[in-house]
Amino acid sequence: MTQHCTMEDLLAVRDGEGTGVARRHVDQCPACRAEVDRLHQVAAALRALPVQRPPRDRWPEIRVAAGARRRRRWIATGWISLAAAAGLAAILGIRAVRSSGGQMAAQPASLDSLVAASQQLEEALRTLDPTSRVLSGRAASTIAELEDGIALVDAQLGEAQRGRASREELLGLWQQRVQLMNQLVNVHVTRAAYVGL
Amino acid sequence: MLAALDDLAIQRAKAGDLDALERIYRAYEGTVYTLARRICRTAEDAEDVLQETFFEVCRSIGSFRGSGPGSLTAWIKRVASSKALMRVRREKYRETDELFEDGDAVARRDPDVALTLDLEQALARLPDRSRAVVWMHDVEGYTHEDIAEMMGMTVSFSKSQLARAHARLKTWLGEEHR
Repeated sequence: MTQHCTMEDLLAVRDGEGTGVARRHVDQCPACRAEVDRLHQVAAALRALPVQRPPRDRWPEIRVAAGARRRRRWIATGWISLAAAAGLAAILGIRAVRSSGGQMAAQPASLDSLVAASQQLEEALRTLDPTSRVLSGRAASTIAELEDGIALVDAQLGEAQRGRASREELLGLWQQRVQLMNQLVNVHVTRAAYVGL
Repeated sequence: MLAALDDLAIQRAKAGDLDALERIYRAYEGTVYTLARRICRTAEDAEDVLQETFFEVCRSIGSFRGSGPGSLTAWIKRVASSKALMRVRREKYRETDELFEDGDAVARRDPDVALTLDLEQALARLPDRSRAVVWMHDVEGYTHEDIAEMMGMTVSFSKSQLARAHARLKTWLGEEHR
């Protein structure tokens, strides 16, 4: 190699992955050897940059979310034996909740009706026994995102109730919870139908 | 700080013990936030990545098969890296260079501080995907194959991004120290 190494060659040599030709050139060329040394120094300087701290503590929200998920999972495991028998009933129940969800959009929902709808969906979810089903990566990712969303809303509801939030705020949060629960149940219903529950 | 975590704490966390999960959070929040902050453009994005990472850690630690703090570190960093890179892919971050305004005259009083700030500024000046590749490869130690997989790109993309980024850093750091 009569020409100097490219940056990509130099980085490969730095990382112990360079071609034989590039390594031999670096051994013989003071300029390229100096460049490899400089790249080592840049990497070391990057690794030595100070650790940064988040501006506020995120643990309280994560803790509430983790606690809520744990409670949901614990309740769900108690229903495993009923899952197969109750599956069809659950699907019918979900359809009923879906149609009541449509009514909710048309007219303002009461806090009680939202809480009841949320409980109904929780019940449907338990009956579907989501913990016992094998999921595709995409379904698992969708479910995880929905569960995270629900956990976050639960955390916000906890905060709202402690902080005496307005009725509108509570309504908004419960509405969000019902929507997310509905989506979560739909994913599990689709999965259940797909595997022939 | 990581030394304070032992196998027992990890086992308790896997069983869903919230106090043990908090110990894991406290041990890794700086590591995860730093990684996210270097990859994401804004502090808000980095905070979101921190939260999403620990949502996933709390959700999935029961199925974590590694043993000991070393493998836990690797797993948590992998989760955080995926979350941060997903955000870079999703948010249509800037692809063109944006010059960083250099108004930090104070830092030049101390050469060591100046060097650190210059490097941080130069890193921040890089396009988002280049910066992500530099951090993931040179600091976190991921291979180009790992990075390509996590970013949904090819290995040659990762290599060329790294090379272009280092060429730019060389120019910028050289300019700063002239």
